[in-house]
Amino acid sequence: MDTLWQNIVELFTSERTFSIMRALILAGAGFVAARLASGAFTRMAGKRLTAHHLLVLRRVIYYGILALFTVSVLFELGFNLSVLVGAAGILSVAIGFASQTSASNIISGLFLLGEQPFAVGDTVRVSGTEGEVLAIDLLSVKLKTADNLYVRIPNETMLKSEVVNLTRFPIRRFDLMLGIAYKEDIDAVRDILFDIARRNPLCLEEPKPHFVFTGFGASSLDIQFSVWAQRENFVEVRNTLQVEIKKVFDEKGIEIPFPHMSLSAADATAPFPVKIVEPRDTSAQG
Amino acid sequence: MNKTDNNPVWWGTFTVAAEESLLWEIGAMRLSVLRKSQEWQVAQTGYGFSETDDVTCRIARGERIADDAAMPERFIFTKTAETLRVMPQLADRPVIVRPAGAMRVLSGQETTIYVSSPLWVHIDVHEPPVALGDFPIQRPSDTWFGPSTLEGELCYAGSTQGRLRLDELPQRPHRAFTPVSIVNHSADPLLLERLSLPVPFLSLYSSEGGTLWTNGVTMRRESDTDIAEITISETPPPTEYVTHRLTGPRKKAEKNMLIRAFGALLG
Repeated sequence: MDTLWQNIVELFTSERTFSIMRALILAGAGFVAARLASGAFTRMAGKRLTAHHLLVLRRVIYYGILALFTVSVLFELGFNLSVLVGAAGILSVAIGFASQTSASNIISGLFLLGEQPFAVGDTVRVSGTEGEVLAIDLLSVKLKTADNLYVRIPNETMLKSEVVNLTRFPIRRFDLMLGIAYKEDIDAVRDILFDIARRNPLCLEEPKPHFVFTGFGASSLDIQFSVWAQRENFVEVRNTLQVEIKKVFDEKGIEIPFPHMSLSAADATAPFPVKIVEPRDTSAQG
Repeated sequence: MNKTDNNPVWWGTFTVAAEESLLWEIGAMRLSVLRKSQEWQVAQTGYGFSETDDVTCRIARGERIADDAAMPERFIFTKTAETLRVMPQLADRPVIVRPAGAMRVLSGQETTIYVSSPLWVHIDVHEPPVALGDFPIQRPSDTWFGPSTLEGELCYAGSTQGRLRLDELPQRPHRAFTPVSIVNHSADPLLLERLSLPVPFLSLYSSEGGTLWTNGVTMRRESDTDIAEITISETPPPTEYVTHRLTGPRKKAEKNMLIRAFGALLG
């Protein structure tokens, strides 16, 4: 019994136990300090920095403090750091081969942060997916689509593919492709379109709307009508403008041609009448 | 207040009993305010595009816009009081004005053009005042002012043209006049196609007859750029007998500001 008691006392008083406890306290303190420091930074610099910069700097502070404490913890536990660093060198080659994708994503992420083609809060389109940027992380970029889906795109894909930032500039152009019947007066249609844009307060007066006659289509005269709008009003302009054009065209009797398709039951359709005629006498011409 | 037809003065302080309403008609725009025991309701119609030149004013007590014509905005209070203040208010963005035909101000010359800018109806209630909001009399079109589509600022398009003579400018109760002095100190002539009027820095004054004025603005062009040094006069224009200041500026102006004020048209 005495031996057991002695062993317990030894366990709690030994240098090793103290160093493990110190390491645990350091690790806990590290987490708390990192959290407090990044929180305090957010509160202090929150209004002066953009959401993107804030996110990046907060992460740098958090992981930086955590790394320092981790080194201290390892030191406290008696690890020889120089050996660890040497081992890490060899290990990193092995890890590098094994985690090629992750490493490539991390490096792509660093390039993305440096180049800043978009920031948190921007709306981007990447290979057909359109959404608001929620976060730019170490391995991936997270998007929220308009139908409220969470999309994770690896940083490597972001760097390799074409990224369209829809909210970079304050104004955007809406191109409406329109076809009118061949019988219509193009000048009259042009005046009507400009008047519709003038009456819509969300269509910018300057830069002026553009009217481009794009060509003679298979069944219509093809027109491109482009108007500018404030970025936030883009969808509303697209809706109101097209609805108004349809309304005014209907009022003025301007035809928008579209392909017609007739469907009928086979027995109700009479076959094309075929009439056999005598060949024409061509000897007189020759 | 009883029905007042064609009276240009549509602003002021009104007393509204519980369950009573007031209706303003300024041109095509209709705005009604209804006081209930615990809420104020504001409804508005007809502030969209309008080509009518005849803008008459009418204030009617007891009338209001029907709920099916426009859904009223509701402002909830613990208990409403009878004081209602209606004031004209200038735009919250600069207004772009075009002179009647592009003109050139030659080097060393100066001129004054009179321009008018659109107004909003500012409503506040109670004492001390609680703002219910700004409602446009006629919502102007948005426009862009800057050297390119990448650089510039969003403004409102002024629907009327600037004139060299005040009597050429139509007098309307829903617009405020500003005399703009343009001084060209640069060596090159200044081609004036568009002018950015910094209305958020201006105050509103009313004359005896109910005409609304802002402070005078002086735009000095020192070099061959579209940037102007803007000075806003402390006093209203002396050409009219201005009775008192109605509203102060939305933004505080510095003594001399450098603003992109002159612009050619974008392609």
